[in-house]
Amino acid sequence: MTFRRFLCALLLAGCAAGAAADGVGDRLQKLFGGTRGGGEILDPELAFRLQAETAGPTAVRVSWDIADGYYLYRDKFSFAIGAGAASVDAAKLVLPRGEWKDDEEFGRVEVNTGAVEVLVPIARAAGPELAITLTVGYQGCKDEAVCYPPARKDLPLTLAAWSGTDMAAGDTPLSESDAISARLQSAGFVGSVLAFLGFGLLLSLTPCVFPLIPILSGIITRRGAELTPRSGFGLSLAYVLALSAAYAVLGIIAGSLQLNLQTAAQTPAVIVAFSVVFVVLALSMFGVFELQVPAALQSRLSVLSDAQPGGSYRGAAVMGALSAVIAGPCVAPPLAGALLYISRTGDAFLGGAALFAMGLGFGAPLLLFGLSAGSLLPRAGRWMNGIRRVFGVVMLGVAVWLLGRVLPGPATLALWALLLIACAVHLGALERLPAEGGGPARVFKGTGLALLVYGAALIVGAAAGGDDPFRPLAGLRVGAGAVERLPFQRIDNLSALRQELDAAARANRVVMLDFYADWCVECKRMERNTFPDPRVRDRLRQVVLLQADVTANDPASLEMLAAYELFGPPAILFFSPGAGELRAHRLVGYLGPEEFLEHLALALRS
Amino acid sequence: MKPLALATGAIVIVAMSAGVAYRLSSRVESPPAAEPAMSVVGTQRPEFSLADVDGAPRSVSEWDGKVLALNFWATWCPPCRKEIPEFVELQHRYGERGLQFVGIALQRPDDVRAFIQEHNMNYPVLAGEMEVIRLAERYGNRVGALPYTVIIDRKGRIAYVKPGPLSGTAAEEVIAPLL
Repeated sequence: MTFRRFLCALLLAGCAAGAAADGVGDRLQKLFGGTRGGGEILDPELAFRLQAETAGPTAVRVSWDIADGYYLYRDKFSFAIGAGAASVDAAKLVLPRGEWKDDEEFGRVEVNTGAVEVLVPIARAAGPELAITLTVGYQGCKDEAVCYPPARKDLPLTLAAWSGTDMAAGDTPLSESDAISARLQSAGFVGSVLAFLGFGLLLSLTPCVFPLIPILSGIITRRGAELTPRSGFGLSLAYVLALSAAYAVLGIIAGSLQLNLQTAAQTPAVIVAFSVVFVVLALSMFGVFELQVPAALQSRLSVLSDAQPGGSYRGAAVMGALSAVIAGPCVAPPLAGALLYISRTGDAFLGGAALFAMGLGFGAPLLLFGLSAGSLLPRAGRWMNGIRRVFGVVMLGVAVWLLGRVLPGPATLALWALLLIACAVHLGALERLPAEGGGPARVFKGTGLALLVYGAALIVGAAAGGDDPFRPLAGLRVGAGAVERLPFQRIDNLSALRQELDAAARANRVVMLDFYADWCVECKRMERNTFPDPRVRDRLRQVVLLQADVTANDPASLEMLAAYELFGPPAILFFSPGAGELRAHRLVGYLGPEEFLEHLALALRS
Repeated sequence: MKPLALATGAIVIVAMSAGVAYRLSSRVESPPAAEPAMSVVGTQRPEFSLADVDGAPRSVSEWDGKVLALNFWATWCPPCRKEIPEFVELQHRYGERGLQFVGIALQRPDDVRAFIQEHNMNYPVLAGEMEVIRLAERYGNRVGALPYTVIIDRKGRIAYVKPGPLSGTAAEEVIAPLL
């Protein structure tokens, strides 16, 4: 802007020098609209030079270059769509703050001077290029001299094709979720479904699939002697199909109701219910009882598939459906992108089909696993019980991990301790080794003792108020608690959040907004590893640090998440005083200190 | 930095030649067009008819034979509001001797009435929107800014125009000799 002004000045100087003497000053004044009697009253077009250009497919940048000594009333700006299938998203429109002017007649009025730039957000449907007319209204005066009638200008503009993804400006990089949904939108229906299948396959290569393997193994091993490659594959298929169907349901709901499913799956009630399911499954693994499908269902299923014994298939299917939600938090960012995309299309059928395909892709390795498990696992054997117990312990572990989201940290730590000590005792840590005991018994006892000691450490840690299972005694260190936390200001409702953001914008300061919850494991990791880093603290010194606490998962929390179209923590958003949220620099998921510093450098530069 | 310097140099040269070209072309031209605001001075005032704030149509010829001061204004224009008390004072002082102020507001009549009451305006006020903008243009207000004041002598010739605020003393200096 300043450079452009500099060029203008040069241009004028050049003109003046070239045209030299004879009254060119007069002429210039005339050229620029001055009238002799009234001093220099500029044409409104020159007093308020208006420019507009599109800023991506859903925004128009409107700017005024206001001549010195002139001003525009801040409350007289108006923006509307005169023609074209779109509307101005007034809720997201942010006018730059002006300066207060004491007017003898009106009292204090807020006016804008100099350069004013407004990013006008446009709400529109996804689709190809869109021609619109933006009608801009404004009114202003020359200080102490004249006022101009309210001006209305119709600006014809062509918005670029839009993928259905929100984006502040066309040339900025997309955030993770946005990039996924942008790529998906560009394909057609079949393309979308195939893309989701591919995404599923990619997801299956992440550790997200690990929690599912013990579950599936548990189902398969419960078949015991009857297990064949065929039945193993069949069980896996039932499991994977049900998993996919569960995702399909997510997709259909996202496509029709625009519900916030990830958040729903993180409400305490749902989490506790799943933990209970896992404990029950674990107990059945330990042989406390046999899970039996009701006889009526069993017979119905055997009618349906005569050759295959029922019951287990049904169980596999139920577990598959539940597993979709279990894996949910791990695949949160891509799933969020997918669901965001689906809810934007508003197409329930596409949503169902696409997410079903994603489930199939995600489950494909599990099919292979089922097939191989059937051929690799022994038909029978007493030590199969041992494997079942291991799976039982893993399931209990999953239950504790889930409960960790709703329980206080020390309580979770105590549960871990309980689990480890029980394992240790079971492994014979407290039993005397037989005199001529074999190698395996010694290994078991050694492992058991290690678990016992660690379990004891966890209990001590829990008693001291620790909450990190990997560093249970951190709280006991001398000078503990000296690890400095970032001075976040905690906020628990949307209106307070808006107030803080407004205040920061007025103070012309950048804001970093962290969505946090006590049960959010990734948030805790950030708090522990990333935020205490001195370089990070230093980089954030000038930044207003806000933390939206959504631990309660109550309507106020959900409202804050919904306001930013988030599916849950962790999420870190950046706001600049002029441009509002820097959507492209939105951060979803964990970053270590190095990566976070890089991200900060990018986000704070703009 | 170097390409930037080159670019600025080029721009300065282009601008200078543009200036020279302007000078040459303006020399060839017939006498430069007079300023619009000035062009109406000395000409016969355009006819018009406009509703007053009570909705009654008023014609400019109604005030023929008087020294007529047309003041274009609006309540949303702080400089306009500021000068009106001085016009009220002038109307009070010179009305008997043939001065007639007429306010022409660029807005809906409803928005003006309270102001008229409040400031005890002792002269007629006409009001309108687009028609007022066009009327101001016909009276030489090319820019369209307010306030804008036109003073017409007893013979109906435009004697003086003033875009922007007009002080009471300046107005008096113009008006007194015409009475």
